[in-house]
Parts: sequence; C-alpha cells; structure tokens
Amino acid sequence: MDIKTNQIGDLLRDQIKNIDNNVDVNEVGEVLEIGDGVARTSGLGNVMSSELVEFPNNVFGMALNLEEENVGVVLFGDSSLVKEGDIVKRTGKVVEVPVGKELLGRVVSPLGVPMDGKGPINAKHTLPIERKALGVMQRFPVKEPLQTGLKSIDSMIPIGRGQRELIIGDRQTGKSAIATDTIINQKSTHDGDSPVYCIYVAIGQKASTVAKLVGELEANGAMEYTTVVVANASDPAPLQYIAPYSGCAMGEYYRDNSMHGLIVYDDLSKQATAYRQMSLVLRRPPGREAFPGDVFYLHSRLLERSSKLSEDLGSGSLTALPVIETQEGDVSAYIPTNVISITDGQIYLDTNLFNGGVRPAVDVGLSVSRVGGSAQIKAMKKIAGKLRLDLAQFRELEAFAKFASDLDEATAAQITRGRRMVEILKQNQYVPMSTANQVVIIYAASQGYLDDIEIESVKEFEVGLLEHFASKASDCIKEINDTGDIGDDLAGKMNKTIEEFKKSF
Amino acid sequence: MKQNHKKIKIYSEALCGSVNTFEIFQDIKTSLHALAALSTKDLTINTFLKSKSVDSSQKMNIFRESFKEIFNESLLNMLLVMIENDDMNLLIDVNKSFVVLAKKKLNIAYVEVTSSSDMDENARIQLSNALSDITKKKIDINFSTNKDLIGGLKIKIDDMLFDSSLKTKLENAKSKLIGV
Ligand SMILES: Nc1ncnc2c1ncn2[C@@H]1O[C@H](COP(=O)(O)OP(=O)(O)OP(=O)(O)O)[C@@H](O)[C@H]1O
Ligand SMILES: [Mg+2]
Repeated sequence: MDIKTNQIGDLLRDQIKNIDNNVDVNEVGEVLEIGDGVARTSGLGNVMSSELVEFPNNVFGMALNLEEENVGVVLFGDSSLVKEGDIVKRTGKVVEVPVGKELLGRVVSPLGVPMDGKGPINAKHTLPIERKALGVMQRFPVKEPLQTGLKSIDSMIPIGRGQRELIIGDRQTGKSAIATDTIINQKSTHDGDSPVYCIYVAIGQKASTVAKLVGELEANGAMEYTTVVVANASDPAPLQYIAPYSGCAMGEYYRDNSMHGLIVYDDLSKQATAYRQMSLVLRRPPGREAFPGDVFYLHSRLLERSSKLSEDLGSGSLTALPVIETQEGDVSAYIPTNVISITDGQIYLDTNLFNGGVRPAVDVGLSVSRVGGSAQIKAMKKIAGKLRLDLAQFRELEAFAKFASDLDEATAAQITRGRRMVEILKQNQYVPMSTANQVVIIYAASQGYLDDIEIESVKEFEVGLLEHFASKASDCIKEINDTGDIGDDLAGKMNKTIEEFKKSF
Repeated sequence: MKQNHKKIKIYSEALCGSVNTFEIFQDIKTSLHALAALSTKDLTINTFLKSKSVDSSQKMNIFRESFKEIFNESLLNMLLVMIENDDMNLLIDVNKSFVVLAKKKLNIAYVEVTSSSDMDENARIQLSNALSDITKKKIDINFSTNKDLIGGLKIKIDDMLFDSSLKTKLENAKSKLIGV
C-alpha cells in the first residue's frame, strides 16, 4: 500500500481534533476491598445489576451484588492490578458481545475480544449476554432434523433444530468428540439452503485441549461456519461463568434472523463450579453440594434461550448441546439432575462401553430424545424402530452369549444379529456419515444381510457396500434423499444391490 | 452485624440533628476525621478506650477533660455516650454515615479537584464559586495535584467524575486509534 507520511499526519491530526473537545463524565465509586476476583466498592449508587464497570489498568468487572452499603463486583481481569482505594467507573451498559457472521472462523473470549491474533472483529451488531427467553407463543414445535452424522444418534436419538439435547458421561468418554463431530457434519448443510452456523463454548478446559480442537475443526473445514468462545481453566471464574451466555447471545443472532444456529456448551459442570466459587466469595449462602440456591436458574435461563421460532418471527432456530460431566456415572448428583430435567433428552455415554471399544459409547437404554422423533425422515424411522428392538433384545441376552453353543437357534440368531448391529454403530471420530448412507447400512444389517459376515469383517463390508452403492446404485441414494422414505420398489432395488455386492465380497 | 447497623444509624442521626450550618458540619467532620486518624495511628488511645480495668465513668472523665477545648459540644456529648456504651469501634462507620446524612440535610456536595499543577488561591475560589453555582449546592472542596494528568482537571462531585485531563484524553485517543 502506498500512503504518504503527511497523509498519516493529517489523519492523526483530524482524529485528535475530534477527540479534544469532550469531557469524560462518569459515575464513579471507590474500591473498599479486593480479593479472590471480587471487589467490594462504595458509591456507584445507580449501578444496574450485571452492568459492566471499569477499573484502572483496563480491568473490567460486572456488578452482581447490589447491597445497601456497597456493591459486589466480579472481575474479568487480573485482580492484582486493582488495589484498595482505586476508582471504579460505571459504563452504563450491561455486559454485551459482538454478534454476527463476522465472528465466524474466530476464537474469542467471553467478552468478544479476539484471541486468535487475526485482527479486530468489525461486527456491526452487539447483543447483551443476558436476555430473556422467548415466551410460549413465539415458539414452534421442533420439526427439522439436525443431523449429527453419527449412526447411533441419528437413528435412535434423533435431534431436531431448536432442541436441547444433553451429552452426559464420565470424564474421557467421548463427550466432546460427539459435539465436534456434530459441528463438522454441519458442513453439508452449507451446500443447501438452510445452513447451520455453529458456536463452540469451551469452559474451564485446558488451553492445549481447546487449541487441538480448533485445529481439528480447521482441518475439517468447519471453522468457516463456526465461532469458538473460550474461557480456559486458568481464566478468572467470572469469565467461565459468563462464557455460555456470551455464546448464546451469538447464537441468538442467527435464531432471530431466520437462520439456524447450533451451540455446544462444553461443559456446564465446570461453569457451575465457577459460579459456586464466585457465589461463595460474594458470601451468598451455600446450599446442596455448596452450590448457591439459584444454581437451577443458572442453567434453566440459559437453555430456555435455545428454541425454534414461530413463522411470524422468521422460523429461525437455536439448537443446544450442553455437556455435563458425571462422577462414576452418577446421574443423580445435583447438577446432572437439574440439567436432565431442563433438556429435551440426553445422550448417555458409558465408560465401560467406551473402554470395551464401543465408540461412540452411547448407552441406548439410558439415552432418549423427547422431541427429535418428529424431525426424523420416514426411512430412518422405519429401520430405527427395528434397530432399537434388536439391540434391546441383544442386551438382555448378552449375558448368555458366552454359552452360545448351548442356546437354541432363535436365541443364537438374535445374539448374532445384535453383535453385528453393535458393530455397525461403531464410528470413528471426524468421519460423519450422510443420512442416506446411514439408512443403507442400517437397512442392510436389520434385514440380516450381515449375519453371516465375520465380526472382524463388518467394518470392511460396510465401507465396501457404501462404495458399491455410490458407484453402482447412486439412484437408490438419490431416491432416499429425495423421498425420505423406503417404498417397496426401493426396498427391492436395495436388496438386489446388497446381494450383488455380497457375492463379490 | 444488624445490631451495629442500628447503632450506627442512631448515633449518626443524633449527631446530624445538632448540625445546622455548613461551618459546624465542617468542624465536626474534621474533628471526627482527626480522632479516627489518631486512634488508628496512636494505639495507646485505643488501648485506653478498650481497657476493661478502667471503668467507663473514669474513661468519660478523662476523655472530656482532654477534648473539651477542641471538640464541639454536641460531638463531645455523643462521643461520651459512645464510650459509655463501649461503641468506639464504630467511630469510622458513624463518621461515614454522618457525612452522608449531613450532606443531604444541608445540601452539600463533596468535591475533589485534581490538577496537574498547583492552582493559586484566586483560581481555587473562582472554581469553587462556579461549581457552587452550577450544582446549586454548598461545596466542601479539596484540592490536590497529580503530575501524571499532564494538563487539564479532574473534578469529582460526589459520585460523578468529570475528567478533562490530558492523560485520559490521550488514553481515549489511543484506544480509539487502535480500534478496541
Ligand atoms: N468415536 C471415537 N473413536 C475413537 N476414539 C474416540 C472416539 N470418540 C472419542 N475418542 C477419543 O477418546 C478420547 C476422549 O474423548 P473426548 O475428549 O471427546 O472425551 P471427553 O468425554 O470430552 O473427555 P473430557 O472429560 O476430558 O472432556 C479422545 O482421545 C478421543 O480422541
Ligand atoms: Mg471434553
């Protein structure tokens, strides 16, 4: 670029001229006491609840406890930069973040400050992070599918746009993996006419874990339509507390502008812990498990903001996938029960399954989706019912599987079928599958075409079959996509194609 | 905690009741301030006031003798009551609460002026009068200097800060140019 120095000089002079003539007027208070990321301040008589306030050295905070004598402020920055007697200024704004498509591809802090060194975000809009959830009349039942690309979920625990589906499980059971795969799978929606924009909120995770995740999203081309909001484990608790609300405001932008958003909160257990820390330091009375009394509201007001809007409001949607970590599979602890009761279903991940090599480790018996069924295509609905039944029977008979030789023929056949089903539901990370392909392979298995295939060869068979369909019978795939159903004609054609492939296998 | 709140309110309201003019207000305020400063600096006074071996009537006598020349009568009386009830530990809070109440009663604004260089007497009086006119209040004013401001003034009227210092302007300009 060719800019002359005197031009720059003129520009600066102009700027300075404009700046000079205004006096900064602020309502101020004084820091009485500071420690553990919380400041007590005097003054600030007119401050609003959750208003942003400014301390010296560019440290910001949020007014939370408004008491008669003083105001309790939580700090978003380094509290060692603030000392007793410092002046604290009101900003007159509640905490808000930039929203809009300018944020796609970016990694930002919960205050919307870029963390990826890619320069300023020139967003045109901002939204307050705390907003009221919509009322009954503004909503609409969930009816469009949100495909995760994971066979076990799309078939048996279908998720619809606007739904809130909890991902729950112990540590290291593949919770984040399901969330990331779902984000990656939204890539295909960007070829169509109703793309899904994604927001991944990382709360209290290691910075290295988040960096790895962003790398994976980038490698799979998913960052183009994704924003990552990060409050790391080393960040102050107040930042971890507001991170989900910030992310939600960014998601609501899509929902309110007739678009579709998907937001992942990974994870809300850590947010609750951060909130507990803040509340104890603010001297709010502790309750069960030392959480403050309003911890239910912490999550309910967040998750209620995900919804499907009515036609009058543009039919946008915001789907939420909150993540909760359990201890030793205990879903009856305080936070898990709370969130289970707020969401529209849960995907329960089991450590034993995960360690036994069943990945994703979805426990089909304990997982449900309360509203997604109406969003599923007919073809999938038809075969999924049978799949559920086969798996349920298999689980009951599994204990006897060791004595397979002593069992009667029917039981042995059920066990054989069940094993093949479990095998085809296994899926690697970062390889989401299209709905039509899912239908083909699950159809093949439920029709018993895999019963005489060795367990070790099932994966190979699956890959081969799908390739065969793609090259030799692409009209079948097209028909599934177009009609969303398996009629008698199509079933016949599919049977023939599968038999054909089996001969060559 | 609650109990103390009530006591502080009673003491400060009583003291406020005896204040009718700006001069008395300032007098009492400076006395209270001095006493509070003294008791934090000089621990012997504290020890004396908290002592269990000296009984309270004796304490009151000694206190009255030593301060009757300096302190306003109603202030002295209130302090004696406080000593009698063993409430001298509330002194700082009573002072704060009293200032708030009296300011409201007498329509006084508390003003702090910070400038980059010392202001002469004339300028101080002019500024003080001007502020009094603008706020339509009597003004309790304090001046200080801070070289860091570079130029301009910082005027704090109660909870409002009017900042025309060059330092803040430059900082604002900086953040505007960077675009944060
Ligand atoms: N479907 C899968 N196939 C193979 N490996 C998987 C699969 N899903 C997850 N993993 C691996 O399992 C490990 C744990 O996964 P992940 O980090 O998603 O679990 P998590 O429950 O989110 O863990 P944390 O409790 O630490 O957040 C990772 O190394 C991941 O690569
Ligand atoms: Mg994780």
